[in-house]
Amino acid sequence: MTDSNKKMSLMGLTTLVTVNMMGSGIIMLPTSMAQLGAVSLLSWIVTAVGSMAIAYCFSQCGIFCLRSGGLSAYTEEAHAKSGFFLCSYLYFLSLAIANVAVAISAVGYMTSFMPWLGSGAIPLFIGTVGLLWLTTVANFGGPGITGRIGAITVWGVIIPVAGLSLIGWFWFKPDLLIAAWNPYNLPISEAISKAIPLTLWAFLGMESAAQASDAVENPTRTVPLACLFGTLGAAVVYVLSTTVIQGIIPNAELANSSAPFALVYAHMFNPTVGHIIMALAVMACVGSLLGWQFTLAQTAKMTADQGMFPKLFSKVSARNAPIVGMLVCGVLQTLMALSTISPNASAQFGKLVSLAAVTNLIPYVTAATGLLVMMYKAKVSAGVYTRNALLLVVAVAYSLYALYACGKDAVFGGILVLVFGYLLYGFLAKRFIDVSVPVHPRADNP
Amino acid sequence: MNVKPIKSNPLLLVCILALLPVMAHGSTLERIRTSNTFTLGYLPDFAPFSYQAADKASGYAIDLCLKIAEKVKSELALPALKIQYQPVSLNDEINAVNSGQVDILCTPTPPTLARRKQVSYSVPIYTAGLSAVVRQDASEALLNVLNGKVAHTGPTWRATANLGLSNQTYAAIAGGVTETWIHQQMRLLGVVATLVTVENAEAGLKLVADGKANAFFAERMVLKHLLGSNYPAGHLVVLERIFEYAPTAMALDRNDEDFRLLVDTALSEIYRSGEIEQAYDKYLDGAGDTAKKLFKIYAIP
Repeated sequence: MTDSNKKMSLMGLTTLVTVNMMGSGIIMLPTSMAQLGAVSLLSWIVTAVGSMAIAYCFSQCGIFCLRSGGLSAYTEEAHAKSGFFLCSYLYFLSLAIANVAVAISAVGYMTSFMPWLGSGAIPLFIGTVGLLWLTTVANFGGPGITGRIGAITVWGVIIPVAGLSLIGWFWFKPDLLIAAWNPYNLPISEAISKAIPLTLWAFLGMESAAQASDAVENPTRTVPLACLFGTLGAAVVYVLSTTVIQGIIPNAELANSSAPFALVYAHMFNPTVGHIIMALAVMACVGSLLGWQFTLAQTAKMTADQGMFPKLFSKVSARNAPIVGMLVCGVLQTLMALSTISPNASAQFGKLVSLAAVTNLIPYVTAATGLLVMMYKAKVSAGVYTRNALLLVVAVAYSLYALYACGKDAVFGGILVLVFGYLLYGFLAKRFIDVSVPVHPRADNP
Repeated sequence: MNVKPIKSNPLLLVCILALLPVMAHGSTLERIRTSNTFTLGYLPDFAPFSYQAADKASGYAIDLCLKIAEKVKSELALPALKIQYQPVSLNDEINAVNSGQVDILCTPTPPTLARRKQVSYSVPIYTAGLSAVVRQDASEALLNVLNGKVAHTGPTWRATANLGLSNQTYAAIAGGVTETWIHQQMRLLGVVATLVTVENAEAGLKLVADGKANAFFAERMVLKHLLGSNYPAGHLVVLERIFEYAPTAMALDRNDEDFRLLVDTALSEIYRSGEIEQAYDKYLDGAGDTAKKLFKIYAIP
């Protein structure tokens, strides 16, 4: 376990966070922003700042909390054992569902290269299940291998998206951006409030650094830095790329594009380059699925290590990969992927995906609030306490707003799932009575 | 006396004026009188409004035209008036009226300013509604958008599959009012879509049925009728929503206020007597509340 070859480096974890965050969400983002106009760029001010506050809190948690368990361990600091369980349970559900949806999206993007995949429900199902298992099996090699595959697929984000943020400025025409500013002449406040939902959830995934704490070298340093750098990098790239693209492609064309990054590269160079860019974006999307399947298995493993998920999730191979748990997750996701076969089931699955965003956000609040207890235990100075507490309030306010904006159907479903979790924990709670669980420092922690 | 210029021999005009000093007749009524024939123009493939039935025509608009013919008979005192059915093509329909080849175009068309330069129109006889046909297994997001709801109500995050809304293909009949409308609306519908145009409604429906288009936009009754006859299995459905309403009317000669008055009188009587509802029941699945309100508005008091 201490062999660093089997673990992930700071670079590996930072790319994992960035790819997880941007991999599947960025592909259509310029189109949806252009449909509202370039005025939607203002929403980044709110969402990037709020997300950075959350990332900051998580990185502080990573510094103070020396035990394994990621968000769940942070949660336990303030919300005890049941908090740990609920956090893991909600987050695990969120990823299990969301990963299936990411696979479906990835198949959708692949149809431009393999039209067969788009020819009906059965090809879509086969493609989705194929991708889910491909990314599951690719994780069998352990975190070291996952990190190295991630270092390749990250180029699918770097070249099209980060690359555009740099070189796109040579093609940038300010008057195009000005013309695209507010095509519907909406009042600025209304335009921003309509634009925020486009970017509000774009940073979901920043927590994947914390979830991988068991699988990285020197987690007390790596996890906080990867969380901060990954989120900051994503924020910079998000803002620059979605700005520059609106100054290269006329608004009407961009708003009706199904592959905006391919379009902008085709415009800057030639259509062949556009196709290559689309292929890279698809690769990044598949790469993000790999990262998320890894995070899913890690979340289950850390929770099973605490005796709260079935033991089979915590069994790791010689290469430090929880293979059995991955297989179980794969089977569970294959069942969910069956929903692609009928339109009714797809609609139901769509509701699950919305609910999954809610069960992803609740752990943000429970984990970030753990920081207050951690700071108390660590007896931090008043200055640090005040600074962190202020940012914590911003982070929680942002999380609450993101929850609110999920809409009543999603929150309704999320709450039902949450309350059901209390029943599950009820059966587990007896394991933690009378036994004062000692806080185990990690083996590799000096 | 205000006499409009007519194409016939001025001498004949003088005779007519001498014989009928009370009424000033335009060319259409005169043509009917001299030929003892009332020529009804219609599109033969525009069910349920007008369609070919053996050597005659049938349909909602034909029924109304026959009622107008009754009026012509009694007003002109021509009990042996012959009815002649003259099929016209979509491209030629306005010209047929303009040139006097037909006395009236029974098949309803939406009056536009461009068309009004060539022909005149009766009071509206039907309120066309633009709707769309989709496959039964259309994605929920597409149905939401087409039904005027937000495509997607939940959070939009990395897991939100946008399969439903990327790369849609919409179809419309080439050159019609619909094509222009879709171009304007496409962005407001919030979908990434391409528009393809087709020759006629059958071709449009076939595109949707074959999976080559996601939605075909056309007049609702036309769509319903075609679905009933060509796709009875129910794989295709017409949306409940009407995107745009357009009153449609019968085209007639532009320089003939007397004939127009006769047609409008006949139609207004049909509206007031309730016969219109019988025609709706027979051909158009009955009249809804909106249609009934419009009957009162369309009928000239």
